[in-house]
Amino acid sequence: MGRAGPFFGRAKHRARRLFSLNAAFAILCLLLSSTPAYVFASQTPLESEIKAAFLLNFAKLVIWPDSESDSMEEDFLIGIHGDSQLLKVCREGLQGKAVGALKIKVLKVGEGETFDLPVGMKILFISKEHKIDIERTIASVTDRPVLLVSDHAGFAHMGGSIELVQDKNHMGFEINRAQEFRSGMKINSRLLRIAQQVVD
Amino acid sequence: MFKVKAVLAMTLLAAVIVPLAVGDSGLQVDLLDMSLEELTQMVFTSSRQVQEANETAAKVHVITAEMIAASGAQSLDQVLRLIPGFQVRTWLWGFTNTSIRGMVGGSPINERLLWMVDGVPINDVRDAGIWTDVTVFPLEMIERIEVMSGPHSSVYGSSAFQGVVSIFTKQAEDLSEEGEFSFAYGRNSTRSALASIPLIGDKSSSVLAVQNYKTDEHRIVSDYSGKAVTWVRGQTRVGKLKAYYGGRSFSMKYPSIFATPYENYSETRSEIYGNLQYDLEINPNLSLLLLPSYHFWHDHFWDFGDVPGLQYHQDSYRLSNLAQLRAKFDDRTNLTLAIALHREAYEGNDFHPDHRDLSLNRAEAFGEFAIELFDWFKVDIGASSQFGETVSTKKTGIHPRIAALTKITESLRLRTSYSTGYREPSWWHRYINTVDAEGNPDLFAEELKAYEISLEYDFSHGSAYLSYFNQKVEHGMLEIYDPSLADPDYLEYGIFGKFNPVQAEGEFEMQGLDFSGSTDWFDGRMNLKAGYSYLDSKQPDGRDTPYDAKHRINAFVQITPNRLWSFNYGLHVVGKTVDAELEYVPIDVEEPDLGLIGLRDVDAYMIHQLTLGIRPTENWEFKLGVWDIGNDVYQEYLGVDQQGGLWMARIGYRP
Repeated sequence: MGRAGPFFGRAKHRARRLFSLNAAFAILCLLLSSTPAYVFASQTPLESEIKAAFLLNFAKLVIWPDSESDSMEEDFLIGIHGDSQLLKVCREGLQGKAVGALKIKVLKVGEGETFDLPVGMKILFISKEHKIDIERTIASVTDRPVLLVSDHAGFAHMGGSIELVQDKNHMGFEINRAQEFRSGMKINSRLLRIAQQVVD
Repeated sequence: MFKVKAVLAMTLLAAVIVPLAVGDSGLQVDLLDMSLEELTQMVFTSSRQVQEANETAAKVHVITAEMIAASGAQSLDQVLRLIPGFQVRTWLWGFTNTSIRGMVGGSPINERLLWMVDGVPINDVRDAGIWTDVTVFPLEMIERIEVMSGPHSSVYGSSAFQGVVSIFTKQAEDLSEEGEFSFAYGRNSTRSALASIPLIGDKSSSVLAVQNYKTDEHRIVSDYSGKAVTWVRGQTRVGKLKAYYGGRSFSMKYPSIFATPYENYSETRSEIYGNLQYDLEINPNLSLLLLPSYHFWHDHFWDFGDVPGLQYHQDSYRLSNLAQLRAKFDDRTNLTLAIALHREAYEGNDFHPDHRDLSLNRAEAFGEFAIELFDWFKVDIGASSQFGETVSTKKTGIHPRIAALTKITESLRLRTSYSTGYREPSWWHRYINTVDAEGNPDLFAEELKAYEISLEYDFSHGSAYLSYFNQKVEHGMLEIYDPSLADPDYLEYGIFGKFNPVQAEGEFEMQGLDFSGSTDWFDGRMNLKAGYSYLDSKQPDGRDTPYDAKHRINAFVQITPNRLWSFNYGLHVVGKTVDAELEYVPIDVEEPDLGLIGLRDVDAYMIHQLTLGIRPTENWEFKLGVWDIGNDVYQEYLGVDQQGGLWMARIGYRP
């Protein structure tokens, strides 16, 4: 193609050797890829992993009222608002898992969308970082069968369904049953028993 | 050969460590199978490999999609002004130069920052920079941007010289199921259309995004340039395997930097790229990121300098294999080790009558050890080095970095760091000013030493950040247009002079302060972000470095009274600076006058930005932005006194 000065001759000579090195590296990568991966296998899990596990338990221990759209649904929708780390963990760990006949689908709920949630959304997690959205969402969703969960301090007393409460390196939860009574959801007695506090 | 063996040995070492660690993984507990009772008894940590930005020894500035929407910005350069110390200037025909804490003389291709999209470097092979305009990157596709100031070679390798800009795009689940669409139109017949379509399956999800951007003249600078960009981007995720791929075509007409506009001089560029990412969690304490990637560029310059039939073309590609091992010894100690093998090739005849056909193989090793000695103190120690062939003929050694985070109180953090970095000259630097195949044989890698001390304070409705930094750049590359370097092959066409990269003897020194703060009022319905940067930037000869303004102010106010309306006001002030003057006069080839190039004062200027947002329904969004670019703003670039304002209207639709 072009002129070959000393620099290029050297480069091309080494290129052949490094090409084989690249090939060896690629084979090595393939071999390593066959190593089994463990999802959610952690001796000291992340806070977001604990939250995701709680959300899965809530999904299994709450009964949602039948709706006309239920027979059409295939997805169990969980919305995450304002917590990108939890969103990532839920996508990698919960997405596709079965809740009854439905499969979990995790959606990011952006700013402004909390007032017009997708039909059939069962659980909505709102991060404590979005205080302004928490008040608005509770007000607009409180009569609908959407389980509102947040880690915002005082969430349950503000009217939210379940507040995740952190005590040093442990996590628990409080329940407010007001939304349950209005929306037709049914919270399992096991949840009520384990909750640190239940607001009727 | 010894170095090649060393790289191979390190790779094999990683291969040995992996299976050993798997075999010693200990108790495997699946959180998802736990009962509620068990979960409430679990001890968790707020950080493992992934740390909150506030908890890292190196300051990471994060801009989220929500912040982008709130800023009122309609292009990437406006967004990046949210970062303290970030400098943006539009060069000549509309290339946007970005830098952090000094331009070291400046060039239009952003080569001193490492640019990454979804974890993949996009700096090109020939120039090492972002040759085409970064501002056309569609903001609607961005999930978040992370920016780090100063050298970060111990984490990202050689290109992370003055800083890192890492863009993460939205995944399928972030988008409306039926897709998202936007269209914008503004002054200079600028129009942009974007369609993003998510495809979500049981085990995989993909995004297909297509953007078309066109302007009859660059929106702020020239009367003569036109630009068109078509971009197709995609990403697919299957379990832990992620793939990013896409292509871009770009064309623009060149104006003249002199008195007479070009009529036919134009450029077209095509790019394709793709990569695979596999984040393998071997056990809770060990993970391995594998990232092979490929990027190809083709450039063609038509009727160069309006000389009929004079064409340049260039093809280049980079094939990279990155393996990054991340190990956690306990809750307080982490180790990251990476090996990157790059093959880079370039073939072309730009500024050269014959083709240059170049390739090289280079390897980098870099790593960082992070330890939290106390609850209130953690430190990162890292280093980087390169092996194999390099563009420079003077080798660099090992480049260390140490950074510490001290939590004075829960709300007050002190960061200190000493960082070093290096940046290879590009092939363009080596070959642009010589007609032989050897190029300039005496180039060094630029080397940077940086000290920084910063304070960050969180209060109930916001935060404040103050940083002092001192940076010294050795072998800084100045790109000077030199009329004495006329190529005889082109003289017959009337083309005089070339860019002449020169490495200064001595050090560039930049020191200064970055301040930024944010707060909100009325339950978040009114937000303020403001920043001020002071930069004292000197060339080795003691003169002020061109383009580095001493004072810069950026302020953004957002008011959201209700769901329907939003208002944004932005102020961008750049203090007085100096500019390399390029004045066109006929040149006597026999006795060229080098005195044509000099420094001149450039007045301070300011830009006002006002954006009105309307959201009548959840599906529709309208934005109208206007900018007052004042008087004399772009004297900094062309000596053109361009006054007046700009406007851009945007419609967004989410079914």
